[in-house]
Formats: sequence, C-alpha cells, structure tokens
Amino acid sequence: MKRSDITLQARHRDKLQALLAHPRGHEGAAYMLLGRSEIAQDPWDLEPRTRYTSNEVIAIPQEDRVDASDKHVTWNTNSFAQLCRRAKEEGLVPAIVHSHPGGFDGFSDQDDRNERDLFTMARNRNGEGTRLVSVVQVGDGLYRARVWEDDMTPLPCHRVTVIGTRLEIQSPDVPTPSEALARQALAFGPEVNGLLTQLSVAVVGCGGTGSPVVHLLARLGVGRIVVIDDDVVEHSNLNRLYGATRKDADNAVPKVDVMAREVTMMGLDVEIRSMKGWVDAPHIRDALKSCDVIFGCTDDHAGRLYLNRVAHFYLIPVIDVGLVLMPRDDDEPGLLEMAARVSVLFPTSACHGCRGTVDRVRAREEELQRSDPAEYERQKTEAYVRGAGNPAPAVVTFTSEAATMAVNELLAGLVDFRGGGGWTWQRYRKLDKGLERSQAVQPRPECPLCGSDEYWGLGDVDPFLDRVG
Amino acid sequence: MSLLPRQDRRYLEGRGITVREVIAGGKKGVILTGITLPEGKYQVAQADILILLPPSYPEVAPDMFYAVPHLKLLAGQREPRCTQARQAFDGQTWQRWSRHNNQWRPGTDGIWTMLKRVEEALEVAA
Repeated sequence: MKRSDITLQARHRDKLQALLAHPRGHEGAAYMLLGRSEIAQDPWDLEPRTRYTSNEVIAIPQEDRVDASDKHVTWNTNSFAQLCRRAKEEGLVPAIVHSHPGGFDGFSDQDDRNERDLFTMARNRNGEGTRLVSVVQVGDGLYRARVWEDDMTPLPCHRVTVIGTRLEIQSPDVPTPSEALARQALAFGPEVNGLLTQLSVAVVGCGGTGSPVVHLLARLGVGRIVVIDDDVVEHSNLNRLYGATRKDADNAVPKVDVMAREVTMMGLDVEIRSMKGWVDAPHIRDALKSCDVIFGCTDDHAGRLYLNRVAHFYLIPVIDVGLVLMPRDDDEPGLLEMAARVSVLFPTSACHGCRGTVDRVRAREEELQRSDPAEYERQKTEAYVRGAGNPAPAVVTFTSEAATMAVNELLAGLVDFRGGGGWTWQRYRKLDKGLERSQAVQPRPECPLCGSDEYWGLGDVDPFLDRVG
Repeated sequence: MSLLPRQDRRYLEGRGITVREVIAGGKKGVILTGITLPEGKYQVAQADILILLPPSYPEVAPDMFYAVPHLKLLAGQREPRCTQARQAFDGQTWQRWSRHNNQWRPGTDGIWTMLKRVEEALEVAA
C-alpha cells in the first residue's frame, strides 16, 4: 500500500485546536488546504509515496453549522464547494478535519459514509485525480489522517507530524529501538529512541562539518540517513574528514561513499543511502523531499539558498551549520574571528536571506562557475565576478564542535533537555571566548519566502520551488 | 513546464506581454519580442530582448541583457558603449548589453525591475 503522511505547521495545529474546541465537548469541524509532495522513489524503500503539508486552515462559517453533539457534527456543504474551488485553482488538496472529543482513536462508520459523500462531491466538481484528506483530532492533541483517492476505501496515513520549534511525530506503530541506545534513554526517557528510529534525515555536504554530523546521527540512532555531496576525498581534507583514509584520498573516493561505508561498518540499525551530485540536481529532489530534517553542511551559498526554499515549501526543517574562521589580514598566523553558527530554518522564523547568513551575489557567481566555467572565467577577467579567495582555514576541533551544536539542535526539537522551548532559531558560539548567544531573527515583511505565508507548505509547484533551477 | 516564477507570470499577464521561455545550451532565458525602442535613436524601431535567468532567480539577479538585431545609434552610426560582446543563444547571435546588476532586492524585484532596467539602458545609451 502506498505510504502517505501529513505535516502540520504548529501554528496550524494551534488554530485547529481553537476551532475544534467546544465548551460542552461537542464535536467540531474545520477545513484545510494542503500542499502535496509526490515522491516517485523514496531513497530507502524505493517505493512511491505522497506527503501532504498544511498550507492553510479555514474555519467553517457559522451559518454552515447545522448540528453537533459529543457524538457527531453536521454542517452544510456550501463552504465545502468553495474549498474545492480554491483547491483546484491553487493546485492544493482539500482536507476536512473533525474532532473526537471523547477520545475515540479512529474513524467511525458514520465518518466513512460522510467522507465518501464529500469525496464524491469533490470529484464531481474537480474531476479525475481528485483527492480528499480527512484528519481526526482525538482528544485535544492527537491526530490521525487518511486519504480518499477513490470512493471505495481510504488509505490510512502512516503518520502525522507537527512542526514548530519542535518535531512531534504521531504514529500508530513505533518501531522497537535498538538495545544499543539504552544508555541514551537513561538520559532522556524511553520515548526519544523511538522518535529517532522513525526519523529520515538528509545531510547535505559531507566535509568538515557534515562528516561528524553523519557519525553523530548514526550513533544517536537516527533510522534513515541520506548523504548528498558531489566531491571526492582530497589529501587536504584528511585533517578533518571523519572516516576518510589516505587511501580514499589517493583513489579520489566520493565523500558520500566514505560516509556510507563507515556507517555501514558500525553495524547499527541505520539505513544509509549515498547520492553523489549537486544538491539541486533533479535526481536528488526525491531524497530531500522524503526527509524529516535536513542538515545543511555546505559552505556553498547557492546550496544554502536552495535548501532555504525546500524548508519553506515542504515544511522540512533545515539545520544549517556555518563556521567562520577568518584569517588575520596582515599575513601573520592566527585568526581574527573564530565562531560557529547553527541556524534552524523553518516557517515563522526568518529565512537565510533575511538573517544575512547567505551572500546572494556569491551564490550567483557559484552557479555561473558550475554551469558555465568558461563564461565565469571571462567575467572574472572583466572584473564582473569577484572569484573565491584563498582556501579557508579548517581545524577539526572547530568543525566537530559546530557539528555537535547542530545535532544537539535536532535533539532539542525531540526532547526537552534544555528545559522546554524546543530548538533555538539561531546560535552563535565564539570559539575563542567560549561564549554563546541566541540570536533573534525577524523575517522582513516584504520577503516572499519568510515574510508571507504563501509558500509555506505549498509543496510541489511548477517551476520547482518557484525559482529558476 | 514553466520557467518563470508565479509573480513574474502574473505581472507579464497583467501587462499583456508575451514572452518566449527558452532553454538552450544549458541556459534558461526569456525572449521579449518586438520591444519598442526610443524613437529615432536606433537603426530599427523594434528589437527582441533576451534576459538570461540565472539559477536561483528570483533570489539572485539576472545580470546583463541582450538584443537582436545588434543595435546601432543613428547618431554616429556605431554601437553604444559596452555592447560589443556577443552571446550565442537559441540559434542566434545576440548583442550583449553589459549593464551590471548587483542592486537586486529579493522579494521586491522581479521581471518588472529587469524590464525597467532594459528600458532605461536603451533610453540613455550613448
């Protein structure tokens, strides 16, 4: 059976809870519009799957409410027709949400009949290929969902994920975590290992910060990892690349192959896939879209800009790692600045552009250098592009520290080890002074990505990510 | 398959401008056909304008623009300054207007900004 799942923005979950709440415990109802992410091939099970993402929550108008009790809710379908019209125009999937305040965990026969009628209505209006998602809120915080693709049998969603400043996974069946993780449960409680086992994580960039991130994720018990990088091991990497040997450098082995080999050799319950290529290559899209979290461990500005959009369109948090080791400008050894930065990119917080953590001019130059090296060189001689400077300093203790900060941010999204609040949007650690500060980051109102919610959870659009690829 | 982001498409539809989206030789661009030139300034009254769209557009700026036919100023019978480079695209040789652009405001700027820059460059060329 084809797998599907739903990701809700935490602010949408909050709105649903408010709309569905009733002082006397009656059932309530609301609508949603969902983005759709079609995955032709999941990188782990190689099967197609569909993910749905909340784009908007819509209240059912008061005049459409017919009747409700603690056992049922009935509403007039005028507003449902409106919902279907918008879904078709905007390329989204309509969803109905209702509550089971008494705690019945599942869909009733009555739900089956009502939803089948609504699905038929939607299909008659919007045509073949129409889908209808149904979500039920059990009690006041648990969600179950299913998808109607025909009027016979709906497909259950294998999980509902709620993401804001933490990652809440609601799944009816949690795999049994490995015994190797028992000591970690002593620190965080038994739930954490079950959550980690269910995670699919991409690591983009397997260099100084990416390679320790991969090793930490595997030891931590993340169930599925996909590593993405286009580079091969070079001798100059051996001072910091976890798992790489001199022989790998001699043979120019792809970095992703080293990661897959090392993690496989650990013999833990981790399924690792490697993809050699540039992060925005079409064959890598499915892998990224399949993930619950993406680690951005690239020092490339174009790659950062790309992942920045993936986070917003697909509701996949991107944990971006940056290291600043700025050499002195007087040719003496030493560093002017040494700092590690970890940013979590996700709707409601500022995007890379608004944080100033990406250089767009440099991004354009990198793209030009990749797509048309001859033209890049020509523009460099014409002084139209600045060109990259000398190789940046790199020290394994600093790259590893940045990687640890990044993986701890994921942990903070799963367990409250810092005393509540989930992850921090941005941390900046001065490596020389041992000081760390959290940085407030506000979206600019005119930013199309983070200043408005149009793109949040929009899913697949043409062109991909609404940008030139 | 579309090339342009939705805001650009909305803008062009709103102004009734048709563009041809072309992918050629690994490059992506839009060709605006029959753009009216400042009166009495060039050897022709209209030209086609090519705007190459860099990867990541609209987050990064398009850079220069290109014209066919190669425009000559009526005054002096010569090409304007910084238009001597050539660019092959979609079976034609284009005249490159080297007007550099690093003043891009992502979110605020789009195809409308680029059109305005083209119009201004054509107006002030000497």
